[in-house]
Formats: sequence, structure tokens, C-alpha cells
Amino acid sequence: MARENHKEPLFHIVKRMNISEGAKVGIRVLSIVIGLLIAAIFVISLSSESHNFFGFFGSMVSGVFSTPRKLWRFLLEAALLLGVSIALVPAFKMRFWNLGGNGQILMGCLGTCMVMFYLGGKLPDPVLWILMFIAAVLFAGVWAVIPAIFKSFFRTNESLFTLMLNYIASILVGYFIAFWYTNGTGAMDPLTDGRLPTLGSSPFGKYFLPIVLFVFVTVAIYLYLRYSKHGYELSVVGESENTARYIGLNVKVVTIRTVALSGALCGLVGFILSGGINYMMSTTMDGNMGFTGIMVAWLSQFSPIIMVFISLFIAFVTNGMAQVNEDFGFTDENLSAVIRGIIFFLLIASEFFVSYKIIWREDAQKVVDKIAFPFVWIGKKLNPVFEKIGSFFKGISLKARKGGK
Amino acid sequence: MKKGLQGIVLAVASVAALAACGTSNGTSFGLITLHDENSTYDANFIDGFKKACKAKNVKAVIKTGIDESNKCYEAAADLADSGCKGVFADSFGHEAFIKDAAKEYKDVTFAHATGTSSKQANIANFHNAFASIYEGRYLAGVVAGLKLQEMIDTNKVTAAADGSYKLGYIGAYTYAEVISGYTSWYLGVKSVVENVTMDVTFTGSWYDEVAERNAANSLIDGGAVIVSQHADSMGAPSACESKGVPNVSYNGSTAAQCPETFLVSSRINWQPYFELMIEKTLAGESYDTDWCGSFATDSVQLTDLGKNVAAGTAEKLAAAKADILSGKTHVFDTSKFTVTVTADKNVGATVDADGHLTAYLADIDGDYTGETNVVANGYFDESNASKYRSAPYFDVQIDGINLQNVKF
Amino acid sequence: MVEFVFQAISIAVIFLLGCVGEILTEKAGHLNLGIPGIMCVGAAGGVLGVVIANNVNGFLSILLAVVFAIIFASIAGLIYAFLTVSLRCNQNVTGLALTIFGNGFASVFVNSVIKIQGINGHGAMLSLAGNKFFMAHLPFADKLGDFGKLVFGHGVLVYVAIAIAIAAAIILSFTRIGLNLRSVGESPATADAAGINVTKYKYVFILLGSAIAGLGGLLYPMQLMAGTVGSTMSSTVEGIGWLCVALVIFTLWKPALAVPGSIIFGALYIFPTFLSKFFPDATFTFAAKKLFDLIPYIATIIVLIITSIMGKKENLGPASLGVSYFREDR
Repeated sequence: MARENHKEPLFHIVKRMNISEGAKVGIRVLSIVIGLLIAAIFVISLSSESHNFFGFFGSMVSGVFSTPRKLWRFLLEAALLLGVSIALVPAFKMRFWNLGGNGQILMGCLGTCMVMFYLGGKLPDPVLWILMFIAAVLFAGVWAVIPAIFKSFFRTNESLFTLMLNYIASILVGYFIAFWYTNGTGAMDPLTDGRLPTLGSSPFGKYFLPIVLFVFVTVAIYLYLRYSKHGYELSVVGESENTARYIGLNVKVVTIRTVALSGALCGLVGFILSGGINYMMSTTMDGNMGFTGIMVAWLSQFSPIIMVFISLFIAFVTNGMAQVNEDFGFTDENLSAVIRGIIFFLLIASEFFVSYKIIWREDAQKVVDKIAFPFVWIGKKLNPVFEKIGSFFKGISLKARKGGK
Repeated sequence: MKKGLQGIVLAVASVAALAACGTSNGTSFGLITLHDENSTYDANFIDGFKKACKAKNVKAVIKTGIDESNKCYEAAADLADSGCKGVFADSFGHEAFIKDAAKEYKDVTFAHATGTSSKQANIANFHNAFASIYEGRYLAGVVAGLKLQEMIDTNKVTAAADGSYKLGYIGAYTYAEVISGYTSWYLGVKSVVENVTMDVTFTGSWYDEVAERNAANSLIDGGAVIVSQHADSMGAPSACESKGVPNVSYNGSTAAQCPETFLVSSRINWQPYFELMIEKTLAGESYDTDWCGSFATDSVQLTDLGKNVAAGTAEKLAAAKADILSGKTHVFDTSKFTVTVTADKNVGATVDADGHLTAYLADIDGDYTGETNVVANGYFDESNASKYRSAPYFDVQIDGINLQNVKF
Repeated sequence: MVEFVFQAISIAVIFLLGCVGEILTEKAGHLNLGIPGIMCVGAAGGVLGVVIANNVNGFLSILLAVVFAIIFASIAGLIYAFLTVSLRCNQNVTGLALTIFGNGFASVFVNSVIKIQGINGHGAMLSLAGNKFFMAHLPFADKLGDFGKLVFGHGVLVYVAIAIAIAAAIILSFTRIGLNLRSVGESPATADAAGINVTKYKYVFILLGSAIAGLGGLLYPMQLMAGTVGSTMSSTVEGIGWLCVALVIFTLWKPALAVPGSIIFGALYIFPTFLSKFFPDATFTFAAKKLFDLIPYIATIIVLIITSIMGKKENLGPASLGVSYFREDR
């Protein structure tokens, strides 16, 4: 190596040979804790009134847990986000970058509302529900399949294609609202026919069924990906297209089928949003879940249980921050996006530390050891807990199929 | 380990509980806004609400960024759950959801701006509110008209081939509130300079900077010499400032940003309504299901005049305002404008031989077809809350106003 | 018509800078989906710069705006570079996180600035002196009529933007540095073996690309909106940013093509507002008019499809685009 002339570098990076499951969990937990602390500092320094850490965390917790309504709302938002994330997983496993989640959700909303609007009152509700479901899943599925077809046949870049379709979906939704309500204000009143059934008008009654639905979908997709032939096929295509071809898979068919599923599941989210919760649609009904869902799917390394936790965590931060805004007297809705962004960065960066180790120069190593000492101590204490959690995740991981670590 | 964990959870929960109820030492009222205070529309409400709550010594709880969906219902229910005695929502699309909340929380007062259904809904604790902003816009139009007259007298503008002068207006959507707004402004200008026409262009959004700026550019390019808008961004005023075209803004003065071209602005002051709502709710008394503020209640205001208004504007404006207050002038005086009726335009209108309106079936109940005649005593009776409703229903397309590229 | 073309050029330069910035980043092998967020952050930096210059003098306003825009955008770009070059994190996910963050951060930052300035909700007019300087154009432009207005009538930063694009084109095609960059993007392993410091090139050009894109973001409030900052600045800039990323493909990764390409995109973007100039009679319903907003996005998709069908190798972008470089794997 031609490095003899240079001073030995401050540090160099080495790939880890192995890492305990506990350490993996510990690193993630550490980044979340750091993220929340940064958020707290950021928010408190921006606030004009005087608050402290307890006030910040107290607000966040109360924003999510202090009333049954808030709790069920939190669970619903986590379930919707989970639904979008799990929808994106099949596509991502196949290395198809479906950035079009937002548009696919909106097309699901559009399909649902079209049925509600045109056939509402003309057919009995249960028939409407079936048609709404079909329309939502079909519209969204087609919306995803179009870029998939072009990628399969012509190698067209799917990230940008799906991204552009997001904007087109949003404009189409706006068009139909304007078309249906010609002298309207761009907002749509909730429709009365075709509303999906609920268990009553309490928050529990309204949101329990959708929550259960998405938990069920998550389990179903997990089983699909891990145990079904399709799941195996799509993971092979994702690993290497050449290998897939050698073993006789039709890559085009697998791609299109998988992406259609991905879109259809986003459409399901739209179906619930328009048919079960809002009974109308708007151009912002997707709530940017298509993008946040990508974060969730990727950060959880496609493990559905981790996805559940991360969705819960993001819903917690979002709703908690809304309460912080209210209590601290902020009226800026973008604050929670900043906080989430910071936490995302930290989680992304933490991926690196899971796979790589930094080896410092001898003199630097001593300094680093001193600084890291308290964290290492806490880490050692918590290690048994993390080990248990980590082994559990590993057991049900979707990576187990490949026989890797 | 288990005990430790339990202890932590308990501690966190109690801190949460403390933090949550620590500050509500008294009654609170809630406000729900569509965006946040960075949008002029919402800033108007937030401002008035905070002041009213302070004046009445109650706590103001504000939820921002609540879009027109189930989120609004949740926000209203949340506010009611946390003890608010009254909840107000500021955007048109919030109405249905606030109504649902009102049906559920019968002891809480719910009110909604620009809404249209409180009278029919007949829910005791659900109210609509607005203000006779059309009068404010008319007077703003008078200011613009005086400026136009000055520009004509000093040869700064030349008439079109038919002797008319052109105005420009940027609107968002094609419904009554916007139509009422631009027509009243137009009639204000017309009361000073008779021979004016107006081009109206719609952007399809309440806040779209680029579209509004280019709409202004396009109107000015098409010959408009004074421009006004019913849109919330700085797009149009800044375009006017760049091109040196006088501008009448809405919902707040743009004098600081556009000193050379700002003429005047009209706005709704919500503080009086909020104070009424708080007062009556705390006293347990009912009040108007549909309330329309006016100059008399200080709900409609004009900002200070810009530095480049025509000489003598202040006095003439005061005189015009006095005429409105005394009832001597009616904004929608049917003798001041003509209407053309065709198979698909102004179908609810009845006109006399000269094209003046003698009757008009306005859509009061919000079902998109007109049914109630609101023309009497020689004028169109707009925003009459006691007789009809507070939210505007003037959607007549009068002669002299060209809707650019939009077929109704 | 002249007004339409003039406004198209005004907005085109934002597309131009965003596109050139992303081209440089992609030539280094990195697909930076954070460019929309970086443009927002650049705009926020520019706002800060103008506020600090505090109306003292027009030139100072522009100078500080540019300096801060570049600083802010470079820091954002540094986050991306560090995560994707040094830490080898997934480029798409990092970029998206950066866009989510950049949009939110720019909004909060700009809104705080507006609040501190004490201006009401409409949006701040940040610097009248600076604004005049930004918008000032060559004096003889007015006298040359329409042609003069279109060619000479733009603010100074517009010409700077075009100069940057041309400079980028020259550097990429005709200099040694450009050649090295291109080989890094095509095959980092080969470039490394040839002695090129891959990491350094990636960092430098990601940062440079971010700075240029940030400058594009700056042009939005300062030049297009004539110095006013509104509450939807970030979401508008983000939308423009995504179109910039798409424009890169449209221009086949050639900065020189970005100049006409961005004017076409700018024209398509503002076309719906000038509809009445092209269709004088009221022919569309309000709802139908909305469909015209689809044009830039459909145009982009058509271009995406056509370039991929044509399938020429050099039109598909750098070979190692999106793939992290692991020296140890060599």
C-alpha cells in the first residue's frame, strides 16, 4: 500500500465481521434517543415562553395518550402508515423504487369516491362497498403497473415515472372535485352513501376495524413474502435478474405482478381513507404517507414487526408534536417535519454503525474510549434486554430465507 | 427490572398528566385553522381570536394545519374533550365536520366562518358567521376609482378604442363569495369612473404564488391598469409593484412590501364575533345562528391608504362610507349595472327592458340551484343574515366583467 | 406572447440551476433525490442573507443572499455526501429524508425570519434595495422593444445562471477534471485504479451540485417572486425541484441542453396561467382548465419513455448511478 509516506490516518473504516443482535437494537435505540433530545432542544430554544424538558416530553406523551380519542387516533395513523409501508415492501424487495405511494393512495381515494358519488343511493350499501374496494384497488394498481410495464420492457427509470404520477394523481383528484361541484370552493363535503361500517360512533368504534385490517394485511403480506412461491420469486429477481432468468422465471411477469400488488395495497389505504374515515377526498389526503412509508419500510429492513414499531413511533412523533405546537403556542405546522427529518437522518446514519466499525488511531482511541464510556456502560447494562429483542426480530426476519445472517 | 419499568411508566404518565392540565386554570375556547399564521387568511382569525380571548379573560387554544377532512372533526372533538366551551373553525370545507362535532357535544358552542347551512341544520349549538365584506370591497373600489380618475386626468393611461378603461382581478374559485367580492369592487370603481371593464382570471387555488403572479402579469399585459385580487399570497401585489400598476389587496395591508403601488385593503376583523361568542357562551345565552358583521360592528375594516392614492381620497372615501352606513348607497343597486340573461348564464335573473335586475333567485340553501328572490327596493340584498344568510350569495354575472377563459 | 416568454425565462433559470446541480451530482454517480430539499434550504439561506444585509445597499443584499444560499445548500449537500459516500447509505432513502427535512426546515426557518421581522402574514418583502438590484436590468433593454426585453431585460442573476450552465458544460466536456468526473461516475473502480481520488471527486461535485441547486432555490423568492417570501415557498420549490430531477433525464445529462430544456419546462409550467393568451375565447370550464396543470408532468413522462426506448447507452446516464462505491470490494 502506498501509504508509508503519509502519517497514519486518524481512523479507518472496517466492515464488521459479526455483530450481536443486542448491539443492533442498542444502536437504533440510541439514535432515537439522540433524535428526541435534539428535537427537544430545538423546540425549546424556539419557544418564546419558558419550558423545560419535562414540559416537552410531557406534551408529546399527552398528545398521544391522554384521552381515548387521542389514543385511537394515534393507533389509526400508525396503522395507515403501516399499511403504506407494507405495500411498498414487495416492490422494494425487487429493487423497484416505487416513489409513487402518494399518487397510488390518491387514485384509491378517487376510485372509492367515484363509486360513492355516481352510484350512491342507487345501489344498496354492501354492493357499493364491494365496488368501492374494486375501484380503489384497480385504479391504484393500474397507476403502479404503468411505470412497471415501461421498466420491464424499456428500462425506464421508475423513480421519476412514479414520482410524476403522484402529481398527476393529485391534479386528477382536484379535477374531479371541480367537475362534480362546478361552483364549489375546491373542497368536497362528505358523501352520505356507501360509508363503510363501523362499530359505533366512539373513536374505538370508528377506527378499530381499519386498524385490525392493516394488522391483518401486514401479517398476510409477511406470510406471502416469506412462504409463498411468489415471495420467493420476487426476492430472487431482487437479488439478481440474471439468476432469476437462469432458473426460468419470467422477470417481466414477476415485476409487473409485484408492483401491481404494491399499488393495489396503497389503493386499499385510499379505500379506507375515503370510504371509512373521511367519506370524501382531497388532493392532500395522502398526507405524504407515500414518502414516509418509504422511510419506514427501508429503516425497518423490511421486517414487519420493526415496521410496526417504527410506524407507531412516527405517529407518536407527529401527534406528539401537534400537541407540543398547541401547548407551546407555536402555530407552525412544519415543525414536526423537521423533527422527523432529523430522526430519519440519525436512523439512516445508524445503519452505517451496524455494518461498519470505526478503528481509531491509538492516541485517538483513548479519547474516544473516555467519551464513549458512559454510553458503553449503559449499553452493557441494557444488553440482555436488547439481545432478547434482537433475537426475536432475527427469528422472524424476512432475510432468514436467504440463509444469511 | 419489571418494577423499575413500571415505575418509569408511572412517572412518565404522571408528568404527562401534569403537563396536560397544568395550564388550564379557567375556561378555554378553541380555534381551528386550515393552515397556520403564515397564511394571511388564517392569520386574520388567529389574531382576532387571541385578542378576543385576552379581552374576555379566557384561554385560547389554537390548532393549526387542520385540513378539510375528518381531521377537523377530530380536532373539534379533541378541543371539546379537553374542556373548551366553544370551538371555531375558519375554512369553508370545515363545515360538515364541525356540524358533526356539534351534534355530538351538545354543551359546547360550535361556530364556523363562511358556512351556509346553520339555519337549515337547526342545531342549537351550531352557528355560522361572516361579515359584509362586500361593502369593504366597494369602498376599496372607490379608492381605486379615484386613482384611476387621477391617472386619466394626468394622461398616465389611455382609453381603449371604445373609451373604456380596463381593470384586472385575480380570483381563486368560481363561487359566490369570490363573485360577490369582485363585483362589489368593480362597482366601487364604476361609481367614480363610469366607463370601466374588468377582466377576471381564476387560479384554482387560494394560495399559489407563481400562478397569482403570472395571472397579474397576464392581466397587465392584456391592458389592465389597476389590479385587485381575492387570493392570499404576495404574488399579485408584487407583480403589480414590479410593473408599477396600482393594486388593491385583501386581508391586510401590503404597504410595507409594495409602497409605490399599494392603494388600500379591506379585511374582516373577527374579534367582535369572537367576543360575542365567548360572552354569550359563558352566560349560557343563545345568539344568532347566522351572524353577519358590518362596519357598525367594526367587523369590516379598511386599512390605511397607500402613499400614492389620488389627492382628496380620504375625504371622498369618508363620504362614500357615510353613504353606505346611512343606507343612502347600496352596493348592489340594480340601477348601476346591467345583466344579460341567456340559456346558461344568469338563469335565475329577471331583467327589465334596460337590462336592470328586477328579481334574482339566489342559492341560499346551498344546493347549487337558486330559489330565493333577494332583489327588493332597487337593490340586491347581499349577506343579509337575518333574512337569508351571512355567507355571500351574489353570483350574478354582470355586464362589463369578462371571465377570462372560464365557461360557467 | 412576449410577456409569456419573458416569464417563462424568469422561471426557467430556477429549473436550469437545479438541473445543472443534479447533473453534476449524477455525473459523480450519485442520484440525489434530496435536491428539492436542498433548493428549499438554499432559498432559506438567501432569505437570511437578505435580512442580514438589512436594506443597506442593493449589491450587499445580493452578495449576502448568494453567500448564505451557497453555505446553507452546501451544508445540506454535505449531509447527503457524508451519508452516501462515507457511510455508504442508500442514496434514494437518504435523498428522500433530506427532501422531507429540507422542506420542513426551510419553512420553519423562513417563517421564523418573517415573524422576527415583524411583518404580517402576507409574506415578507425582504429588501427593497436588494429587490431593485436583483430586478435591475440593462438600461438599453427597454429601448430595444420586445427583442431587447427578452434578451437583455432580465435580472443579473439570470445571466449568472446561464453562465454557470455553460461553464459546467465546458468543464464536463473539455477539461481533465470533467473527464475524471465522468470516469468516476461510469466506473469508480476503474477510476480509482487509475489513481483518481474517487472520494474527493464525489464530495466536491456533490457539494458543488448542491451549491448550484441552492442558488436556483434562491432565485425563487428573490428573483421570480421579486423579493417576497410566502408561506408556501418550500412546497413550490420542492415541486420545481422534482421537475429539475426529471429535467436531467430530458437533457441527457448535458448541461448545455439544460438551457433550452429549462426554458421549455418553464414555459410548460406557467402555460396554464397564460391560457387566455392562447385561447382568447372562454372555451374551457373551470374544471377543464385544471387539466392543463398536467402538462409539465406528462411531458416529463413522455420524455422518460422516449429516451429509454431509444436506449442509446450514453443517454442512460452514468453507469454507476445510484450505486455506492466500496473500495474494499475491488
